[in-house]
Amino acid sequence: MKQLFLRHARLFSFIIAVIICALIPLFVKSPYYISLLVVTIVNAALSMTFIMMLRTGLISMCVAAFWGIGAYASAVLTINAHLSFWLSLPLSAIITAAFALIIGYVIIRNAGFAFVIMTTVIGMLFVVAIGSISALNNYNGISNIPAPNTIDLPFLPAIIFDSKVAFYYLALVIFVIVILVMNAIYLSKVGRAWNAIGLNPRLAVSLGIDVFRYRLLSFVITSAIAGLIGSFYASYQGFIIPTAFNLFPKSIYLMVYAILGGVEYATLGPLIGSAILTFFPEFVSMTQEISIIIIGALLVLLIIFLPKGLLSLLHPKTAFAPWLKKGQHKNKIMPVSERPGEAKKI
Amino acid sequence: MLSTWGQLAFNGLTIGLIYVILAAGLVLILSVTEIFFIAYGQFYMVGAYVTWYTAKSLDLPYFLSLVIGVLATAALGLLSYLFIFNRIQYSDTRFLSTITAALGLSLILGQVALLIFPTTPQSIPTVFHGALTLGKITFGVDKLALIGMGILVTIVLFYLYEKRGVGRAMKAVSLAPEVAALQGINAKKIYFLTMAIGTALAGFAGGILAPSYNISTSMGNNVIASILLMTMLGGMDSLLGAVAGGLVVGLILSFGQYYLGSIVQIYLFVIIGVIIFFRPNGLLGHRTDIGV
Repeated sequence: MKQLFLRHARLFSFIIAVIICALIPLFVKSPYYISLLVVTIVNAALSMTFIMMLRTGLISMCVAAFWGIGAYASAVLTINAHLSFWLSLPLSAIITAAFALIIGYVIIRNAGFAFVIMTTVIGMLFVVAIGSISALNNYNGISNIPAPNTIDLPFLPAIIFDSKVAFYYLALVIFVIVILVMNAIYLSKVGRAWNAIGLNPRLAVSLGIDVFRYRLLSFVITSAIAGLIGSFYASYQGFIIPTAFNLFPKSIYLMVYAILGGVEYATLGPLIGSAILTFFPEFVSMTQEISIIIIGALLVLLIIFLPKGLLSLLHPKTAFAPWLKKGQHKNKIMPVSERPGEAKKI
Repeated sequence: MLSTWGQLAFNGLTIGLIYVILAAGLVLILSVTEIFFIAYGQFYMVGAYVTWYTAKSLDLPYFLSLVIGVLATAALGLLSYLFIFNRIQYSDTRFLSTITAALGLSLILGQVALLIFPTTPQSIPTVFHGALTLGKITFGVDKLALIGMGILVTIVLFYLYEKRGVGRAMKAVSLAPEVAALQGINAKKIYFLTMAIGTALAGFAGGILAPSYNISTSMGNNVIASILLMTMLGGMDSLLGAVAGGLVVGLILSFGQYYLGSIVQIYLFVIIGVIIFFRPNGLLGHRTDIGV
């Protein structure tokens, strides 16, 4: 038994963590804390998609925009087309993936500064685009998005989505599926190709990996996941406004979650980062204005002192920034091989 | 009809020159230091507000406050480079690090400005009064002065970049920093200088905008998407491309805002997306080391 546990330590700890998360609503009765947990899960899932793109060397600043596309698609499908939530959940993921395919086909060919610039512009213009479409109620957003339909189970009580706890369990199920899918992709041939591209795109090309296609694939998959989360979020909130999906500060927050936890930890890093930054401002009851400054300062300080995130403290020797060690980087100009377009190791 | 077009073209030229200066500064920073400096828009806002504060609250003459605004912005840029980017620019993960540090800086500057400056749009009284009229088109003297100052600064910048040794040093560092260092160029000094010049240009654009237009704390975030589109259009390593891109985008935005509303930005994005699909380095750029 001990042998079995040690051999599959990751799997068992994952199962135990899921069971603990599923038991939380039995002890925490306050709907406020349950809603914070749901927000944590949504942010962690989005932040994981950011890391997934980072693995291939793409730094996307428009995760929140694709999240918004999913949310708006779901809202339109459930309200105007009268579809059930369970149908519009996968449909909005597909719609978001289609958008990502078209946009990515144009902007991924230049995966250096150009990709960052174009995704930044998309992240900023998403609000303008939605705001100028009167069918989507401009800047006022869409309200009264219906909750998921009741599921009737044989021999068991029906699942009704009328409380925060029901939504928490739905979020948990979606989150677990997302984690499993992502890890399956990371372990597959596709994931190995992504890692190779992230480490050295030129070497990957020489090994016969089609860099453009694999990058496009990661862009489309992550956007589909973001759209799925967006569809859930729209149904959970009941209303959506375009400014919630802006680059400032939503997409930046998603980057902060990933970097605070550590970008090398694809699952645990975003979860820890998002949990800390969702609960901490609430516990010290910080206002929105101050918390933006604190998070900006935290981002800068993290990058300067602890660039690999909190989880890298498990390996303290390599955790801290190299400039803190005396005598290093004194005479370094910039290595030619580390120029940004080549994205040596991100 | 013709007078409307003339007026729109004049307004577009005025805004376009602001964009030209902003895009030139951003192109310098992008191509030489290779930092994705998204906090650039906030430096433009800081320059405008420092000029506004010194001219209105301290009652200094306008040109003195413009100089103070430019110097303050350049000092802020230098400090940010010294304390943030200088430390992370040589690390293995510099691409991600510089981007996120600039994002954090942008969040801090924007939010601090929101807290300490008045929330309503402000402006300062202009020193140039009167207007020239040609037919039905009105040329405000303050805007003519803005155009004159903008063209002057652009010419000085081109002279420095194309004709003087410091400009050649910048080009050399932007091409290959190690090789440039072997030729006796102090690459670190060039990074500092580029950062100072780039942010000073942003401050200058904010300062000359303040008498003619309203300034607000969100102006930095509003303008950064347009500046980034211009640098994509002109090419990220071409100063001439920045000038051309700034003028073209300024005119398109001026006409588009009048006839179409704010959705013109979306059309502009789509057009530029099509252009960079066929010319990945922009219209006048040369760089080929981006991407694989």
